[in-house]
Amino acid sequence: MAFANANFGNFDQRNLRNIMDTFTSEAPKRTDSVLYKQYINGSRYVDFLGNAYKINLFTDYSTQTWGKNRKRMITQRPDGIIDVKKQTIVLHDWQLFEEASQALGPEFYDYFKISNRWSLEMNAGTPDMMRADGFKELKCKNSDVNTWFPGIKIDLVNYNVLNKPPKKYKNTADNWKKLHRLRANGRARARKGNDRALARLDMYKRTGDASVIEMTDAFKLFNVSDRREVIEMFGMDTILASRDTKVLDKDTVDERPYELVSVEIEDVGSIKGVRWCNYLRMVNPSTDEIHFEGVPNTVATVKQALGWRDGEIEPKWNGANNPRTMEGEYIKPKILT
Amino acid sequence: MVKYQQGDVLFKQIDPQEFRKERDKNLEVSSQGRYNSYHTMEITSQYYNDKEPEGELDGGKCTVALGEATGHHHSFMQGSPGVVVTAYKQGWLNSETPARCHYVAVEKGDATVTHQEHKPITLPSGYYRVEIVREFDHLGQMERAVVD
Repeated sequence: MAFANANFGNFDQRNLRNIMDTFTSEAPKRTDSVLYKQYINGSRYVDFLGNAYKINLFTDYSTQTWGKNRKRMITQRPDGIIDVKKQTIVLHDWQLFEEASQALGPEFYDYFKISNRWSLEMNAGTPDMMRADGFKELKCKNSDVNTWFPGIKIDLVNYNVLNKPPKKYKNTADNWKKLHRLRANGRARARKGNDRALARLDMYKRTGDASVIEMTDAFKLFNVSDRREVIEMFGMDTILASRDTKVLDKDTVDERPYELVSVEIEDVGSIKGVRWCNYLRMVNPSTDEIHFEGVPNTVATVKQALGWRDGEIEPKWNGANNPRTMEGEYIKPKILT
Repeated sequence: MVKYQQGDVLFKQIDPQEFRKERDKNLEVSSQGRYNSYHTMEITSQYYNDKEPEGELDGGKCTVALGEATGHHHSFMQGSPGVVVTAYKQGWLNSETPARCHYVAVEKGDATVTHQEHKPITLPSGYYRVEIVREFDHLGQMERAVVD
């Protein structure tokens, strides 16, 4: 049994070479074993158990004796295995990368950085919806491997990654990066569109030449006050008549009329070159000015749009293959001006 | 929940006891100079109508949101005699939102919030969470607080 002749102790080596040297000198035979506990902060730790040939690593989460994993024992599959003779490490738990600066030493951490990449979604609520699962991105100095995968094998001499990620992990990472690039490009286009529309509006204000303003500026300007100037200039009906539109829902709340409109907008980033986008059309009750603000395409009714706008209704996640539904209820304001 | 709305600013009424407890705890943290960005609470502006302002925060108006392009603002500048309106910031404020505070306490009376383009609304004595309505930018595929 692994514990039979194990020496317990705490050590503070903070360096893989020192750790291997310690095990080589203290447990030189295959039948020997020593156990060291390396604290990575006040409560979390990694157990090192082994000898001059092999050192097994167990994170405290794997060896916990409480919670749903309480049956896991230290004798089960290790979270990392150091082959002292071949100078390699195989990692089965991504947390060892996160803890690397503490558990495996700053030198190791210098070569590997792990970060969580959350799942991405674009064009939600439309037939062009694109989705990418999240993954754990690994940045390696000496390797082009870009994702964490269980069983990653690292050469401890020059910190090369010696194996390739399984297709499943690689595809997830590639898909995420592709969608992230599309989203970043879309945001850059939106920013540029806003800047150019602002420049045109500024030109109009300085020269009085209204011909410099484009109707599409009503969709590009970030600032609602600037947008309102464009809407006043052309009229909302004229702007909407210039492109394909669909009225999805009409409603009246306290005698205030609202319209949920879907508008076809040019988008060079999409495959068809155009995209249907939902907007809420409303009237300022104090000044009777028309406001036109974007709402997610997952919104189907005026009430949902108002609720989403006020932070009371959120799109509910229904699994990767199902469209989102709206969850929550719109609370009518006691007074709205 | 009772909610009041003036243009793009929402005032959502919150439980007074919970707010007072949270406020006292977090103002104490701030006064001790402990860095805890999530929980520290600061007074951003204050309005009262029965005495002259004494300091920078102790002004004649309490601004809760400020328009970037227009310079218009949602501010408390009127109220019933003896009313005290205090705006609190908790943690940090996103530089892209026009919000100037996270909470508003209307104490000892009713207060009226005014704006250049919206009719004034009177809020009864109570504690309110201040929120800015959001919109979805379809070109950039992101949601953000409405800016004006």
